[in-house]
Amino acid sequence: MEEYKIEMKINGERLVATTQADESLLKFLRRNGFFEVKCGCEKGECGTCTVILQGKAVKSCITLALQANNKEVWTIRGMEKFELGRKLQESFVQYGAIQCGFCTPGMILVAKAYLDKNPIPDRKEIKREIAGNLCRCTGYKKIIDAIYAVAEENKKMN
Amino acid sequence: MSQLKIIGKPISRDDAWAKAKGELKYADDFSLPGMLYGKVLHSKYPAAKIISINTEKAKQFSGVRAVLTAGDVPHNETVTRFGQSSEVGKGFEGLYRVLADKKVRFMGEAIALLAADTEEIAEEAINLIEVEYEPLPGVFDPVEAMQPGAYLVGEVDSNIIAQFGCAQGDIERGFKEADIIIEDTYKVPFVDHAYLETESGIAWIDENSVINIRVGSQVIEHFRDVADVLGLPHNRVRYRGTMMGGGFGGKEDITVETYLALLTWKTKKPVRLVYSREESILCHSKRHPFIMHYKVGAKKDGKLVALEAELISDAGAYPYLSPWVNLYATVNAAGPYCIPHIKVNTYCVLTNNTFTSANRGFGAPQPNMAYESIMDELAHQLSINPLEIRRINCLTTGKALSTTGQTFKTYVALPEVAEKAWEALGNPTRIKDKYKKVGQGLAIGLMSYGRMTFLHDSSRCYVRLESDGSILIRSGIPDLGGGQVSILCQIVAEELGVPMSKINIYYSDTALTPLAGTTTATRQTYMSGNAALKAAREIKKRLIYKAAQMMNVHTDNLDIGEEKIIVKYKPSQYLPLIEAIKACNADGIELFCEAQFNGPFTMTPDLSNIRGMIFPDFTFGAQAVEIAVDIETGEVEVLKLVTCYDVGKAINPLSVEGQMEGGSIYGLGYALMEEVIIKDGVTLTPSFSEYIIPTSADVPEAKAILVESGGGLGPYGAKGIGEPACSIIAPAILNAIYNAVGVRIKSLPATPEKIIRTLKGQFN
Amino acid sequence: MKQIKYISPRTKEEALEVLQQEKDRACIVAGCSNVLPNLKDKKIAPQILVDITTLESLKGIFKKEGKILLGPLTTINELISSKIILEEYPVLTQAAREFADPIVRNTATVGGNLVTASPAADLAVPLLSLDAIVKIESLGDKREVNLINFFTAPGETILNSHELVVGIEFKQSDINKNGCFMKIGQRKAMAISIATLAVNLDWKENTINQIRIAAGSVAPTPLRLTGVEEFLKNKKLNQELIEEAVIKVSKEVNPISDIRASEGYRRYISGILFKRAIERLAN
Ligand SMILES: Cc1cc2nc3c(=O)[nH]c(=O)nc-3n(C[C@H](O)[C@H](O)[C@H](O)COP(=O)(O)OP(=O)(O)OC[C@H]3O[C@@H](n4cnc5c(N)ncnc54)[C@H](O)[C@@H]3O)c2cc1C
Ligand code: FES
Ligand code: FES
Repeated sequence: MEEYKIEMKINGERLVATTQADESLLKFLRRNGFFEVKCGCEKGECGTCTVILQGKAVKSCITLALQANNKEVWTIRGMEKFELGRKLQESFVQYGAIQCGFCTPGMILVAKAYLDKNPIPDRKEIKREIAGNLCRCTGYKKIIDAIYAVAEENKKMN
Repeated sequence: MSQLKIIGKPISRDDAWAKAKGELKYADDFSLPGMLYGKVLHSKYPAAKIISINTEKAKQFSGVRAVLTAGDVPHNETVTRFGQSSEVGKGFEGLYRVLADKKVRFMGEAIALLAADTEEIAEEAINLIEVEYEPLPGVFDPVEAMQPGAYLVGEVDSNIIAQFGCAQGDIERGFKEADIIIEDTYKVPFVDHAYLETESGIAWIDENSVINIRVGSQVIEHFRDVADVLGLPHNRVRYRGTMMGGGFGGKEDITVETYLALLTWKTKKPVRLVYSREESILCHSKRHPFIMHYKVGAKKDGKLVALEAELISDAGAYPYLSPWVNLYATVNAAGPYCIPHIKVNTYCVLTNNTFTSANRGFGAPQPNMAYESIMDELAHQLSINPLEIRRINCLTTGKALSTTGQTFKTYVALPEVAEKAWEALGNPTRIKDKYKKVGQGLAIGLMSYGRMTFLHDSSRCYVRLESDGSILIRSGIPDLGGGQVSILCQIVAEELGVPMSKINIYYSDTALTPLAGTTTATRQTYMSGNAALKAAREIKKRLIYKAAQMMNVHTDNLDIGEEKIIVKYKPSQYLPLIEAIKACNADGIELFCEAQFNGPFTMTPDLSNIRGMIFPDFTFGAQAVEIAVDIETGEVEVLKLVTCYDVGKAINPLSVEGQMEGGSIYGLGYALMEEVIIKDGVTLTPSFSEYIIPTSADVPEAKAILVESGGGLGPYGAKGIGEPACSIIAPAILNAIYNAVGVRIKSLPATPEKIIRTLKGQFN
Repeated sequence: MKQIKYISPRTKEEALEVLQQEKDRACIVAGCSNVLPNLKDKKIAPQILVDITTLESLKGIFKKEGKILLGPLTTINELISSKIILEEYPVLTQAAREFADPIVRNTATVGGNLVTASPAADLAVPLLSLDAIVKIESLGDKREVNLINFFTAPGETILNSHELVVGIEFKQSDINKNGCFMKIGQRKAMAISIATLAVNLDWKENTINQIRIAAGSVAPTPLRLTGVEEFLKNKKLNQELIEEAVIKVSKEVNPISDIRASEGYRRYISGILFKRAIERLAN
């Protein structure tokens, strides 16, 4: 099996490794110890594997590892480096938006990428924006609460 | 009682930060040097004879380390057990077969196991195992499977594996007294748990020759069952349970643990095994489909006089928890209503479908859907409003459950919860869209919390106060995401007057943490909560005893809070907790305690006519919804959803609301979209694009109303809420559909197509 | 063991060369939202993945001489945020908004959606009602195909294995400005369509000058309902006519029953979607 050298910046740090042509970014990341990227379906249908690639949320199970070559990837472990990331984490904890937590990394990353673009969404917009991330535990209400609280804070600061 | 400081406050859960930061390691987020990758070969047919299995090619394949079939398993057949302490007898202990032998019973049944150096090799090599099948006809419909002469799924002479009954009064007289009788049949489908974390784990053998299994399980007591399969002493198998990415009853049975143990035992190497989503849907348990025939009689004024029900459930190919689920369904069959004449019979039948077992609600959601639809129909036919008919008939404090006669000594929050939920809906929303009709619906219910009393359930917890004032808890409690672990921290923090941040808890380890029993049956807050309370209070007593000596104050006048031992009548006078600890340590007073809490114990009941106490207690609740139905497309939009339960005491209101909101959306999926379609034994919905669960775009923002009567058996009067919260939303939605467009959907899910067919008859 | 290679060509020409060489052995990769699931399910077994996502010349939305050209790598989210698409081809914006979910829309492309040729391809339907043309290139050759002739069977198109879709083009016109897309799925997001329908209408003083109707998930391929279009042409738009057309729509579609819906419901609902679309456009 042919191996390809690949390089990316993950959570701000350079990673050089090898991959195969058909390896998904999800498998690649987990294989390299980024266990915080979760695998719920491997078909793009649950959102647990979401990462931020070049500023955009993508589902890493339907992205080739090689498509992230020379690019910047952020996982939940990198969110502490951003004020918005920390705020979202704090808010998820505070509002009870985390039950089993399996959807949480994906949810926070999607929220981060979205609030970066649109810092003051209303609840309906938030609800629409997280529709690619399943959560079986919370019924979504508290997740929306948590993201909305950060949006409200953004509003006050503007 | 002194003022509670941590209990009852909406605090952040102990495990939340690790999850928010992505630091929490689930079962599969782990690897070991030299680890192999396990894979399961599943049956291609739902019913077949296995003529031969040839593993040679797979074994020869480079990188394959082991291939196992039934013959390689030391004890391939044992019985299903679920951590109960008492002998419950044959009726409840079904066959647990690790690998199919001679005959396969369902598509997806495990036939062989394989371990290889890499995942890719395992995936390729598993297909090299050659199985020669002789397909058999099979039977896929439980009613058919019940008939004499039906194809036999198992090796015994009947497919009926459990049969229960309840009766009171005189059913014939009851119907004679009735002014109105409603008779109908209701159906509910197979449902998947759809936890986002699939079944997975890692096993290895440690330096003491103990098989360690790192897995997310709701029942870590299965270590005994795994040991039995391997023929090892129980103390040679250790579960190291991890936080689960959801359980909902699906991790209550053994999932991949036996396979992991066998492969690691055979290869002497660490092995990892992860189910794909497809395997999770195809091969693991589902919620039971039921066919429910009901006949209910009432007087003109709405008073119920008789209820007769026959419930038939599809157990799928192996028993697992089916008999228990059916017992719950039997007890729930008449709902929370006082009915003088009752006759309920339930049958649990094997078929060649995927096996069914526990799923959040455990036999309650099914009959609830039927009897609450009937209550609504009665209300409609008698022109009584939906709330009123429930008020007239519901159980109240001091009354007895119609099915079993168990009396309720503590507060029964009906009809209070029904009124609150119904009122919270408010006036029907006006919608301008000419194609949409709005309707409102109500359902009420009861559900037990705590395991059946004849199982003699208990839980243990260990608490230790460290010399620096921090606390260590050890509890075997599994956490499936509901915050079970955090609740124990909160209770101990409250009792010993230390902040949550000073507590560290070890959980779910069968070797090192005291067994706390299963995270099932909505029992952990009640059972393990009480065990933690007992242990903490014992330590508290010792601290106060010592402090009383030191402060020269009577023990009755001392209390603990904010890391101080305080004189109640003069809070400015106190002893720092740390001083009391030092003194206790110096005196050799033990500042640790392992406590056991026992639930009430009863004898195994007569299963043909179950009477008396079966469950410790019940939770009562109501759910109300407002929906809009598109009269041309049949699409249903849920506009409002209210859940109101008497939770006894909300130890952490955020967690309780989370259960209520999450549970109601779990139930919304059941009502409107979820179905594992199994046709002639073949699952047609093996992925998340076919097995549809609600996204955020499909749900309203659920509202939770907490009633806190303080009447529960749990710590501080808490009741259980995890399962009840999902168990009556489906009938509330069906009733709202009826209210909106006048059609009664009698089978779940209520898809747009089904609604349109019922509205319009045939298409064209 | 499987042998699979990867290449990320630097230019379109290089991509075409690779395709010419590898033909059937190659699989073009764009957003990858179909390719990776298909690889996983072993529905495809290519020997080389040709990743075109770095080819700038295949990206972008261009306006020129009364036409719009979409690069095949245009993502669904780019469609949604395009002002010109919203103003002049709203049917496409509407469809894009109902496509998959916000994350998948970041990577999934228009070209990928068309070439996948699923009967349920959601963008095929509005593009059919916009009367789009598919621009195709191969090494040293070019051709254009009307989208109506592009799909041949479920998962199949007229595209040869050495060809690349390089653009999707449609006209700026009154009819293209006035469009409406309708989708019904099993849920509100991440839903494979049970049925979709798009209508583009040009009418004056109540008379239909021209109408285009396209439907998805109701036949082996996304299709235009040319029979109904013919029937409606030059007719006065009124309630009676709509009712007649609804029946004709239900007859002209050619659906199957599957786990998502029955044939009967699909026929019925196509009519309803048509009625809703035309009502919206005529108001
Ligand atoms: C969760 C989820 C939800 C989805 N929801 C929807 C939905 O609502 N509606 C819908 O229609 N689809 C949906 N899809 C399917 C898929 O996302 C779309 O078909 C998407 O448009 C494919 O685009 P892509 O860029 O990802 O294609 P890829 O997967 O990269 O490619 C798809 C196919 O097109 C070929 N191809 C790509 N570009 C070119 C080109 N320029 N020239 C020639 N061949 C090319 C590839 O070789 C491959 O055969 C969904 C998928 C997922 C995972
Ligand atoms: S694992 Fe990627 S979307 Fe489910
Ligand atoms: S918290 Fe469990 S899936 Fe969202």
